[in-house]
Amino acid sequence: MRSPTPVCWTRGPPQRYTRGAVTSLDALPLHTPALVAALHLEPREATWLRAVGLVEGCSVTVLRRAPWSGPLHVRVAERTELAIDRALALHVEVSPITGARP
Amino acid sequence: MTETAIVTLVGRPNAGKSSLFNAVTGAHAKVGNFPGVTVDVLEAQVPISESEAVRFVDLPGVYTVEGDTDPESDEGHARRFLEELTHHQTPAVIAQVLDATQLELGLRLTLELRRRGLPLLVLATQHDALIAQGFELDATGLSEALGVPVVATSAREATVRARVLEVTAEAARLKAVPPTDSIDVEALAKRVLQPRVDAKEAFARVRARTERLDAVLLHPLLGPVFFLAFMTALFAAVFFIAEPVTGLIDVLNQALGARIEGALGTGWVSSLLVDGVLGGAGTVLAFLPQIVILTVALELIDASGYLARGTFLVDRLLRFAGLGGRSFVPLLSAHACAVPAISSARIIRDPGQRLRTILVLPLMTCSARIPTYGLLITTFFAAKSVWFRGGLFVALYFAGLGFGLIASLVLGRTVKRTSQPLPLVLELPPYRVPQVAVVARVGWRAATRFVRDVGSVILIAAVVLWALLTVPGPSAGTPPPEATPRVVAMYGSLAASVGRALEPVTTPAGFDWRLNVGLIGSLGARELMVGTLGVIFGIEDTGDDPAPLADRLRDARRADGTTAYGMATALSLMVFFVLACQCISTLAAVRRETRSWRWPLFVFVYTYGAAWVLSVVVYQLASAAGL
Ligand SMILES: Nc1nc2c(ncn2[C@@H]2O[C@H](COP(=O)(O)OP(=O)(O)OP(=O)(O)O)[C@@H](O)[C@H]2O)c(=O)[nH]1
Ligand SMILES: [Mg+2]
Repeated sequence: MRSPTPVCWTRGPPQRYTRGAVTSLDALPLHTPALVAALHLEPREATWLRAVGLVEGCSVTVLRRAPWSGPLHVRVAERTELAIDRALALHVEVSPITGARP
Repeated sequence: MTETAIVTLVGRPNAGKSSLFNAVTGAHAKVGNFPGVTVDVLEAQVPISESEAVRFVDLPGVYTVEGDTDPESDEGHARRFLEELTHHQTPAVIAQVLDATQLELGLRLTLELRRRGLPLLVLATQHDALIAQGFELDATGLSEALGVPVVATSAREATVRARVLEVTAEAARLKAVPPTDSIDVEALAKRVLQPRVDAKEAFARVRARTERLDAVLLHPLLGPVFFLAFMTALFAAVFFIAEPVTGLIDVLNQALGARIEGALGTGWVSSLLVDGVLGGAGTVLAFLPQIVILTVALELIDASGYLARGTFLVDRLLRFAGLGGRSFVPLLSAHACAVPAISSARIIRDPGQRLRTILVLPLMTCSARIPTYGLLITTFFAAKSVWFRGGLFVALYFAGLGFGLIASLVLGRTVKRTSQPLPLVLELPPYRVPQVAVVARVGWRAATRFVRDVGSVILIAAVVLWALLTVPGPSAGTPPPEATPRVVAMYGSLAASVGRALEPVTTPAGFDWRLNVGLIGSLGARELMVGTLGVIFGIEDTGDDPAPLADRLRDARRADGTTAYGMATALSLMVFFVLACQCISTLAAVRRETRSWRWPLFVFVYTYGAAWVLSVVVYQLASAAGL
């Protein structure tokens, strides 16, 4: 159980994963429903985040962004609301649900 | 009494574990609408028959029991207990506390717990909240699907205790085997959550309430403004509401002192009672109302769900200062007392941020500083308007916060630097109306604890100090002209000699031997400052009528007959109290959490060093300005 904290929790350099409709969570417009496509994170951090509730395949909506690159307020799977770091959101890949009304 | 089973409450943070624990065991574990209230393992025995009892254990919340975790975090503490549980002699039962309004997430943890091979049962709590959202849980269906007992309950219903005890007794007899089947939690959650007739509207109604509040409280402009206004109002309330009450208790103190002197004369017995007991402990007791107001307000922030929102609001600022959003929780609770706040730093996931938070927590304005601030303001700023005094009091709170941020900014560049601190992830729970009974009990317990402290530690310290001000020391000192024999004895006492020996260091800051004795007396606990001054100036007061401590301080003279203290001294002393970590319990807590002597020593040295330097600066500047 005892293990040192990784110095780095991301995988790869920070980048927006924009391929067609797929984008990173921090670039998702407000109140646009999307599905979590992938977590580009260290396995340990990804495991914890999945346990908290941000799992591949679940729905996610950005409710608001704190100013000056502060955290995002997101709703996950309709019943959970999270404050998450914008730096983290950069590594969460989402695909907007097409046809859904914003 | 023999223990027949250990029932460990496991569940996601904020699921309602501590509420159930309290309901079943009658304990008073802290409860709050925030994920991460409990940071320690709590235990309580519940008798189930004449000779048998069950031990209930309340753990910090965990999101998962598999994979790695930081052993120093709150989750780490819970996980360690669970690892050790398998080696116990007594039959162990895991009771998963599952928030019924977040069924799917809770069920994922259930599957992990099922794999542990310990007897498992599920307490689906907050069923009342689920019903308010327009749903009902099919406990039988869920129990059949999982193969473990399931109870749908609520910590606020009357029968909860009996139902939990019944099902745990049953579960203790079960032998669990790790299951081989896997379950689709999403489908299962859909199946066992049964919508009531008005499900859609009810769910929308509950959500709309939280959304409406968030629209204001998390608004980029209104949110911070409301937060600052709320904190300012709170600190001001501590001053304005409590001032008259404090004055009243002070008057009662005087009257009682006069009665004692009337009955016993002015011998040493009467001096011990009036100067030692009343002057020392009684003066501190007058600050009871402030401490209750502060505790209740902080409890309301906890219970409503605003605490998590505060984290969202200040994350950016705290990250700039080298801390993180989660540091907000210990920083805020340190305004009551730093000791539990240091433990609650376990909820900070990033080790660097956690350490730096612990190191700056002693700078937050804890309630033990209130008596000194109150005394200094009423004594030396009596001529100023009440708004000035209230403003000064509030400014002292923000000074603590400001110095804390500066210190963390410096530490952030030096201590445990990481290029990429762990990111903030925090659940924002729905708002709840605080329960009056719970809030009242928290306030009541703060009051009784304070009275008990005054009656024990502070009383003993005041009496010891009175004695040290009586036994002769190596140097005689120069008492004021026309001093009574008792005052001459005090000037030649052991305590006075020590205080005078420190004068070369403290004179630049404006502190004479009497204040030095106060500072030494408050080395271990800062609330002793006022008590100590109460004793010293109680002895020195030779008038017929015992005067309030404020008058005595204002009238205090130096050996040459000039006024001893003024506003410059008061400001200097305030700055000293803002910065110095005059609290043994805090240092012990830092030692416990960091598992080293290095950090408590560091805290002691840096806070006292900064306190001395800034006190000197303030005193010199204020004196030059003619204050
Ligand atoms: N309506 C309702 N609210 C509940 C119930 N049980 C707990 N709560 C509330 O849920 C919040 C969390 O309760 P706690 O008992 O502190 O939860 P916990 O699981 O111990 O949380 P941590 O210690 O933070 O992991 C508090 O605001 C409680 O008042 C319940 O049965 N019904
Ligand atoms: Mg708890």
